[in-house]
Amino acid sequence: MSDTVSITCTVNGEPVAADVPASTTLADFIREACGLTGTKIACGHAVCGACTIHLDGVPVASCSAYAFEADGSEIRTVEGLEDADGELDPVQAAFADLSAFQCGYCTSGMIMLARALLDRDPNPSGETIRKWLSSNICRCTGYEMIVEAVARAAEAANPGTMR
Amino acid sequence: MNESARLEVVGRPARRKDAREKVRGKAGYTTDISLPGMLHAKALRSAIAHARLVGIDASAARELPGVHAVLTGDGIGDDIAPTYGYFIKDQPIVALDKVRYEGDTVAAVAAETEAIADAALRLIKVEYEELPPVASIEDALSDGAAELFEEAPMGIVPAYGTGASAELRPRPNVCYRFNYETGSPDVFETCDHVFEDTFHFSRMQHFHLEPFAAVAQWLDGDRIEVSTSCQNPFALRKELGRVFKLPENSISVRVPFVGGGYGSKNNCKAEPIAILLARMTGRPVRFALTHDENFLTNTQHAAVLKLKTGVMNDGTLVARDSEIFLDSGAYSDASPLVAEKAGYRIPGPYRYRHIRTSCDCVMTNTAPAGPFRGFGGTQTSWACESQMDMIADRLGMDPLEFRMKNLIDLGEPFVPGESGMDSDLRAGLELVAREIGYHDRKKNPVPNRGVGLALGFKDGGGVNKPAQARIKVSTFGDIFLHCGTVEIGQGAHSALSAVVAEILGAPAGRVRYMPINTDHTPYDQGTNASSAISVMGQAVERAARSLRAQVLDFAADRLGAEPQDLDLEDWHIRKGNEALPLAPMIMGHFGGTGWEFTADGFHKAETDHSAPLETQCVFWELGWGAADIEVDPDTGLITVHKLVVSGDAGQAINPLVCRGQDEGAAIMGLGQALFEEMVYDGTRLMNGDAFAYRVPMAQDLPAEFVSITQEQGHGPGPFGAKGMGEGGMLPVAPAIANALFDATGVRVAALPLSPPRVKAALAKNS
Amino acid sequence: MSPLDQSPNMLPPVRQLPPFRLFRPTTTAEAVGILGSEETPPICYAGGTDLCLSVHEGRSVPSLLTLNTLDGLRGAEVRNGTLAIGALATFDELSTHDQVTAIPGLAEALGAIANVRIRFRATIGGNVVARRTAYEVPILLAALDARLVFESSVGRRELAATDIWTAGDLDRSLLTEIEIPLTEGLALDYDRTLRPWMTQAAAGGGTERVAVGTRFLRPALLSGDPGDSAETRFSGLPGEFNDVLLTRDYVSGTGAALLTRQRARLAKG
Ligand SMILES: Cc1cc2nc3c(=O)[nH]c(=O)nc-3n(C[C@H](O)[C@H](O)[C@H](O)COP(=O)(O)OP(=O)(O)OC[C@H]3O[C@@H](n4cnc5c(N)ncnc54)[C@H](O)[C@@H]3O)c2cc1C
Ligand code: FES
Ligand code: FES
Repeated sequence: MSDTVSITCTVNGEPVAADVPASTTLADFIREACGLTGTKIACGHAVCGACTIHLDGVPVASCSAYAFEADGSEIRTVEGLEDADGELDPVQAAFADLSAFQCGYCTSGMIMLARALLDRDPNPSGETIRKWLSSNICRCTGYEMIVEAVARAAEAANPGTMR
Repeated sequence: MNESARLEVVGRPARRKDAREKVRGKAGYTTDISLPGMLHAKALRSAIAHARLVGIDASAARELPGVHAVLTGDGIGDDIAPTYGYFIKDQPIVALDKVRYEGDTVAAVAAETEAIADAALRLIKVEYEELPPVASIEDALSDGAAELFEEAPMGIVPAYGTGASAELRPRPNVCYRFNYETGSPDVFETCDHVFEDTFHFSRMQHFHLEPFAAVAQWLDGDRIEVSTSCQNPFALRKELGRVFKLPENSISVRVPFVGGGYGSKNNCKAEPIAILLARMTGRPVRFALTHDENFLTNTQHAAVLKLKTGVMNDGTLVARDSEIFLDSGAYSDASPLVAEKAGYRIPGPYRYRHIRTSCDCVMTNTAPAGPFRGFGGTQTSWACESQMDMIADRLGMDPLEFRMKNLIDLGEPFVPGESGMDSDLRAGLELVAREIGYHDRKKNPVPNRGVGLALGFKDGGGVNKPAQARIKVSTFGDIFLHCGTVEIGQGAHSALSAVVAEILGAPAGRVRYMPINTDHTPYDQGTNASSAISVMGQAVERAARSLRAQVLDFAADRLGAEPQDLDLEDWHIRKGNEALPLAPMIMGHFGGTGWEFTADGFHKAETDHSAPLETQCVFWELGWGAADIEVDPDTGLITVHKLVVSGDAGQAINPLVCRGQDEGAAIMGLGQALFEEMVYDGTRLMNGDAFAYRVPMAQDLPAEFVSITQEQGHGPGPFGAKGMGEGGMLPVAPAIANALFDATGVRVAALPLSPPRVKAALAKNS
Repeated sequence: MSPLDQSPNMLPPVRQLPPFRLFRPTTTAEAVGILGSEETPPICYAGGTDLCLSVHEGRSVPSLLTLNTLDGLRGAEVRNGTLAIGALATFDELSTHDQVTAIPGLAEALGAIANVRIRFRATIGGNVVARRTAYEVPILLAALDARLVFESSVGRRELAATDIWTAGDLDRSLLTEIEIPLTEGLALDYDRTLRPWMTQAAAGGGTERVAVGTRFLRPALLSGDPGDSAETRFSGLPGEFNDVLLTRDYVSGTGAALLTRQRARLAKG
């Protein structure tokens, strides 16, 4: 039993060690302790997915998880997608090229969700893309262009194999 | 010169300027701001809809360690004007003598952390004396209803032109009434038929993901610096100046990226409390509402619309008399402006000999309603376009033919004194009709399946919106664009930058849109009414053309040439076959130190008393829509097989961005049509959080969803552009209701078209 | 914000909790011991997808007991004529679990709840213990005549799934397992096309059990002879089955129509 927890984890591949109150949400840990504000908080209770990150590869609403769960884990956020040279991940590139964003507040979460999908299924059908994207809310775009961007990202990574 | 033939930047599906920042999580929003020593604010709200405030005891909260200030109404002194509003100053910063809705702000705390602020709120004791609640428009207008305001708050009626007028508080619980009339009502006598129908419109929440948020601090004790998630920084500055009794040069409003607004983020929201608490504590204060509190801060207007329409046997429209009641909630917010627009737009884009409308803002003990994408036009398009189909049916006419017969022609004024229609309305309607298969719909009828059309309509660009822009170009051709249009998702920064790049012959990447700070940014009345391209675009265009002329004049002088023989290309002067770099020319002339070219541009639609709203409409925003639906008669569930929407961009500055605007708006309209609604049980909101309130998700997309950006080329903006962003929402609900009628012969005149409502209507009919 | 808040003041949703103590038991016995011995019982934490909503609504968390460090209570298993599902099994896990196929239709129903992101985290047990009318597992379990197994320091307690609403204080109990008797020919059809207005689970095989849920009402269970007409089945709907979104008339008429379809689907298998 304790009210402070020690966390050792990696964030976007970098080792991080910190002592935080047990009540710290994963989102606050990422935004405040790690200073990575690309992860957005909107609804604050697991509904909208603006705060989606990967916890050991699983897309998780970080507003509704606690930092203590990350102990011994790998955290990946939107800031960890581009490579060392600043080259965008295919999902990011497709969102940029196809304007699959407007205000941008849902975008980090949408991109992380889409990345998690493509990590599991590099060639998703249109239906699978829609099903996955139905986890997160975008109030601006009407979704169609986001669905197209995810299909484009899959296509870019696996030319010619789109279902 | 045929400009569009040689456009280099404008018209291309390029990456937006904010793309790299936004896809990498690097775009900065107000909620991301953290200042040294910053405190966090939280507000206590009333759980009672209507009550007199007897007393507040905040002493225990003040003593909690980590609490720096507690703001209550009795702590607001004479040095502050304690209420704000647009036309009517009726909304207190925190409750003064009464609370008027469940969620009304009673007190606010600034503390070291949000958790401490939360704990402090629990220690505040409030004593209320309950008053009878007023839950709905019907309640508010009934005899003996309790009054939200026993006395009329301070307010103004702006100047109106021919045929339009307004009054403050024409009756109890109505804060504003807008009237418009043209032509003689006697023509009703000549009509073959007069049809009277009533429509009900439901209420949505904007559901922007970034909540209302502001970070405020006082500099030297007498200057305010506030960063805020806001659509109209200059109007906000003016209001803050009035509230805090400060000159406008002592208030600096900064607006980073805004995480969605759809109308809600106009005027005072989180700012006054953040600023007051910052003054009380001498520390920077962050006041970010939670997403749930958005539901309690601003909403769309529910409405009742009564239409009386006179028509001839051959389908010629003659007269329309409308009475509209908007549920304004507890405070006026932008209701008078929405009333003005709803009252003005209710005839739709059709020709009449007589129009009379009145639109009342009805006060109820529910959350304040304000601007919402469509700005009254969604309500009026719902009623008008539903009634068009109803009348066509009663006359035995085809709804498309009935509309075609009455639509205003290209160039024809909407009403006397107005600007001409700047889109070919029939062409757009025929386009969506074809796309949905309207003409073939009776060939292989499927039971319970039908097709419907609608034409959403609003005047765009806003009334009395002066816009100024400034462009600077450095010695080396780096371009600075200063203007006040907020990047709220609509892509305005990219579009306006593209206009500058196009005119200056520069690659789009050379233009930087400078951060918005009212201390330096040229004046703009606000990012609303789809005005970025149509109004600010004209100011930017003028600034760019003036700058271009300066540069060419300068080069002509240096080269001993005539400016018209020169051209500007990527900061080189093109003279015949030569391309001469400008930088050395500038350095040479200014003694090696450098120089900046600067130019200003301004635009405002001229004041014109013959125009009903005192200026002619800048452009007309249309949304053509068509739906192919099927209803399950056993459950009342509507499935939209295909949805078609189309807007007219005039000239698309970036076709991807135009498409995004129409699609985003259309899906919002789809939610409104089918399920999305703030559900009240009396004055209590039953679904005021993201889980309980259902917005459209990707799974709700129709099997086929087609958006078509027309580029008819008649817009007032740069290169013939028109505004976009709202039009796509307007036709969706009526198109679906019309399709439902086509499918079943049953008319549903209330929203949303939820299964229980649709099934009840079907049952009533059989 | 919670519409259930009865105080005259409305508190803003809480995003940031005050510091709390954290328990990380590794066995069920340890967890049950902590729940029984602490003066104020700790709040259990499974997937957290509902807990965060209740915190938002103002629930205080004096201490938190995470169940994610427990080594069991996951998966599903057919044993002694019942399908036993671990309380900590996630929807994602169950929707592809081979043992769950013992009840045709169940995996599909669980795989349709919420969304992909939530299903990775949300547990079946949390859905039941949350006792929210908007959640669907209690509807499924009512139709399946399931029993809930709770452990506490005073022993084991079994509860019919339909009694969860009236079971009183469960703060010191741990839901460990959900048990569904595998009656002859048991199969489930779950229709959620009308969510959020209403959803309906129909279980065939022996007595027909139909459970109807709505946004604001506790699920109604209607059971009887499968030979009855669909209308007869719905004549048993409670008299006051209305909420702000729908009327009893709508539910009974629509429910009967859905049931007719569900019977046809169940017959087809
Ligand atoms: C965006 C979103 C969409 C959703 N959509 C749906 C939907 O479509 N249909 C639907 O039915 N539900 C839906 N839900 C609800 C979701 O299924 C539940 O929140 C989830 O199942 C709860 O499980 P959990 O493990 O996350 O519980 P937690 O949040 O960890 O816990 C929930 C409650 O149960 C208690 N608890 C948890 N496990 C135990 C245990 N073993 N013993 C004792 N107490 C326990 C906790 O103390 C807490 O009070 C949705 C939720 C979200 C956020
Ligand atoms: S902010 Fe985490 S899900 Fe909405
Ligand atoms: S881009 Fe604004 S919410 Fe998705």
